[in-house]
Parts: sequence; structure tokens; C-alpha cells
Amino acid sequence: MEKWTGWVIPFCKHELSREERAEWVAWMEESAGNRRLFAGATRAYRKARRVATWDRADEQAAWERVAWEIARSSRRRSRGWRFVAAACVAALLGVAGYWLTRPSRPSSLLSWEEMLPGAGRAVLRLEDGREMALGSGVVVVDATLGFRGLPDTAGLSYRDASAFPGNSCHTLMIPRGGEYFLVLSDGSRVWLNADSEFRYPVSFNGERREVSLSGEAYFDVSGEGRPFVVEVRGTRVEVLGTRFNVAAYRDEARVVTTLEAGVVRVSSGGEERVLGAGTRAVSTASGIAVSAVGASSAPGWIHRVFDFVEMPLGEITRQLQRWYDVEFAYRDAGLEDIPFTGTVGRDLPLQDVLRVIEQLADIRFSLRGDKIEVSSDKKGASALPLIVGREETARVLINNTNL
Amino acid sequence: METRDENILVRQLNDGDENGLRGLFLLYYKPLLVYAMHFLDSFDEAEDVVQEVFCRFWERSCRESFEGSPRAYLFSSVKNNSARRVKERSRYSVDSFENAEELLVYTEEHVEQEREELSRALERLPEQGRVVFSLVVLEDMKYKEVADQLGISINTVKTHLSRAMKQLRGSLGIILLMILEGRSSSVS
Repeated sequence: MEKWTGWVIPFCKHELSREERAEWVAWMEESAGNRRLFAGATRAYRKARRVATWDRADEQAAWERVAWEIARSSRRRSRGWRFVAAACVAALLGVAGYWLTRPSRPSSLLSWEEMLPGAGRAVLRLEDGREMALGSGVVVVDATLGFRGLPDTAGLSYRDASAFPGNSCHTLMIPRGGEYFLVLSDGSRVWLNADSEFRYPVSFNGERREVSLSGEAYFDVSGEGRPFVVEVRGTRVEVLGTRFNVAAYRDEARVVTTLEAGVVRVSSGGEERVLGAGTRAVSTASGIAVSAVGASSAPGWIHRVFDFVEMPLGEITRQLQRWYDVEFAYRDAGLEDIPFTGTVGRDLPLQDVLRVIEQLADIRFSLRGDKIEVSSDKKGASALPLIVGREETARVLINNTNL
Repeated sequence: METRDENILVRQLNDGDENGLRGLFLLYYKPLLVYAMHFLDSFDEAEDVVQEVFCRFWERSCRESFEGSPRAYLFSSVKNNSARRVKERSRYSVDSFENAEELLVYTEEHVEQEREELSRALERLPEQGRVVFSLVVLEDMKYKEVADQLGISINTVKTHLSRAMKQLRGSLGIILLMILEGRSSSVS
């Protein structure tokens, strides 16, 4: 066996080690004949690889992956001004925030730098209890329950599994600081937020499409005739084909269903209500309350922003806990109830998000042990310069109270 | 009716119409994949790079209207992104970033011709060499997988592959002037 033939593939893959490369260079410099040999074999190899590339390329599957990704960014585009606004805050914080936000509590176990936004990750539990960690990249499940990895967005697809005969159920668990995207076998799309658990059949073979959720998910259900039912902590949401968001976290007392399009039926504790587009149902132990939410649109987290509407600080910090995987502790009573309205980017470091809140109310966030302590601070916060610039920047986060 | 006219596709793209991107994707996906393979020689990474380039192209067209030749933009993005990946992977090798111009105009016609050449060259290889080369190079299998499948040792796999490479160099490694001539003038 001649040594030089063994260099062809590693050379094309850029995988020659330092030693191999030195040896290869010396051999190439030996004679023009060697160089011709090597160039010819490389050409032959590449020609074969070109033919293989062309013949194995799956244009349709590749296009679907691109379409997923851009579906996300087009939704984003329809709400462009909010993004512009969020970006303005980020840019301003980038400049003004640097010296404002340097860590000042060296005694803490945590550091602000470690509190980074979440990313696409999840754990998939199969019917037999086996678990797989999923990260970035699309995993495609086929009709034999085979798993195939593909690059690109963080997601899981069961489109190829629609012919699976059994009643196998899978569970997708999203940790704190995670989020994940899922395509069910009927083509329905599900975006799962941090700290959520979602159970669904590999293939829908019954008269209803039934799934169960704890945590938060945004559904874009494909209309195909059979009802789609989401079971969430005692509340049932039944739809035909529509887009809606369900938030049902264990640490929140209520289940909130927000409808973007179509009609859904929400039932809880014997009570039943029908929702139209642009409305929201809040189900608690005492019943279901329905209210209008104005312009119907997908929830902020789908567009990578936190969207707070009259939201008490306590609920805001619970959302931040899930996304940044941190804990908050309140020192002063009453702070949890202060409502905020506004939009802020989910891609920002936690510190930047908290800084905005500090500047709008007399609230101080500080590191204490493994928690972030929330306290009232009459003097400190008001001394900081307020970020107010163009009108839309000011609209980004507005404190609704006069503390 | 889907159009293959680039100008129309770019107009659709700039109007935020997904069909514009889809049309360009159908026109260029495979040639771009072949182009990325030249630099990366990894099916997965080449797919990754090309799909990412289309996603970024869409995002870019959302921000500002695209002007110019989408084909030139796509090919140069694929090349730049491939180069970045190679840089991340290895500090040494940039050699294969030369002489890929002919791939800018690679089409169905060229692949048909090369497929023909390949099958003729493979026919002339001894049985084991043909099988090993096909599994490693065309099916992208690891030496270990090939050894297991054929019930031979990894060293035997390498020996067959080495002989096949040497032989194919003569039959398949020649430059076909027909492909290069005349076509390079249409490179944008």
C-alpha cells in the first residue's frame, strides 16, 4: 500500500495532522511526478464525491428546513417595530450599560456574567423510558421510530412518522434555560418554552389528536378535521385548526389560553367557554374568565422577546427564572405586585433586563448567595440616568405605577 | 406556475414572498451543495452551510432590498461560510480553496457526464476495490463500518481503497476540457 493515497481523503477534509501534513509537503516537493499523482487522485475522489452529493441531495427536505427557519423570522417581521425598539434598548445598554452594570458584589456565589439567555435544548423520553438529550440541529423521527439528525434549527420532526402504526407516546422535556420546536406527525407545529413538559403520540391514530402539557407552548395546529385536544392541569383546550398559546406552569395559579386565530373550546372544572380570535381565557380554581387581548398576535416569546402587559413583577421574575435559570428572592413586601408593561429582548443578558426595570421603578436587584435579591431602593435607582430617547424606545418598558 | 426567471424571483423575495426564495433554492441548491462539498468534503456540513446561507439571504432581504445577482451572492456566501468553517476546524489547510471556478457553472449536464465517467471507471476496478470505494466515498461510511459489513479488517479496507484510488487517478482523475472550455466565460 502506498502511503500517499492515504492522504487524499484527509487532505480534502482538512484533517491532516501537523505531522502528516509535514510528511505530505515533503513528499509533494520531492518531484513533479508525485504532485501529478496526488492531483489526479484528488480530482478522481472529488469527482466521485460530486456525483454522490448530487444524487443523495434531498431538495424537498432541505427546503422544508429552510422554510421552518424563515417562518420564524417572517413572524418576527410582522411585528417589526417592537424589534426595532428592543434592539434600541440593547444598543443603548451596550454603550451606557457597560459602566453601569459592572458586578459590584464579589461576595456572591453567582456572577452576572454567567446569567445568559436560554437556548434550544431539550430531553426526549421514549415510550420505554429511555432518554435522549437534544441540542441544536433538527432530529427527524421516521415511521420505524428511527432517528435521523439534520443540521439547522433546534427542533424535532415527526412528519416522516405519520405512518407509525402503534400508540407510542413520547415526552419532550424542556429544562429551565431551554426552548424547543416540534413538528407533530399531522404537521401541527409546537413551540415549547423553558421549563415545560409535553407528551404526545408519535402518530395520531385515534379519532382525536390528544396531547398533554405542563408549562408553556404555542400551537399552530393543522386543520385536518379531527379535533386537537390539549390537556393542561385540569383544563382542556379543544380546537380544529388554529394558532394559540397555552401557559400552565406549576408555579402559577392559573392556566392562560390566548387565541390568535380560529375558535377554541376551553373547559375546566365542569365549566366550558368558547373563545374567538384575539381573546384570552384564564382558568383558575374558581372558574374561567374571558377577556379581549386586542390585536391578535403570537406571544412575545415566539419572537424572542418578553412581552409584559400589566404584568406583576412577581410573574415577570418567575418568567426570568425559567429563561435564565436563576432564583429571585423578595426582601420587601409589595414589590411583587408592581405591574409593568413593555417589551424587552430575550437575547439580552439578564443583567441588562434587570437594569431596565431598576431604572423605571425604585427597585434594586443584587446578588445574595445563589439568589438574586429584590429590594426597594429609593435613592440608588433614581440616581441612575434614565434611558429615554426616541419615542419607541421609551415605549419599550413603561412602569405603570407611581411608587 | 413557478418561474425560473431570476429577476422575477428577486422581486418576489424583496416583496417578502417566500416563493421567491423557494424558486432560487430550487435553481441553486444542488450546485451550491456541490460547491460547498469542494471546500468541506462533508455532506452534513455542506448541507448546513447552504441552508444557512439561504436563511441569511431571506433575513437580509427582510432588512433591505436585494440588488445584484443572487447567484453571485449565493456562491460567494457559500464559499465564505465554508472557509470560516474550515478555519475553525484546521489551522493549516487552505489549499483546496483554489481552482473551483468550474463548479460555479456545474449543472445537471455536468453531473450526468461525471456519473457516466464514474460508473465506467468503477467497472474497471476489481470487485472488492469497487465495493470498498463505493461504500467509503459514495455512501460516506466509516472504515470500521465497511470492515464490519464486509467481514474484513480495517487494514484490508484501507488497502483496497488505496489501490482503487491509484487506479481511478488514471481513469477518473483526468481533466475533461469539455467541461471547462467555453463555460467559464459565463461565470458571473
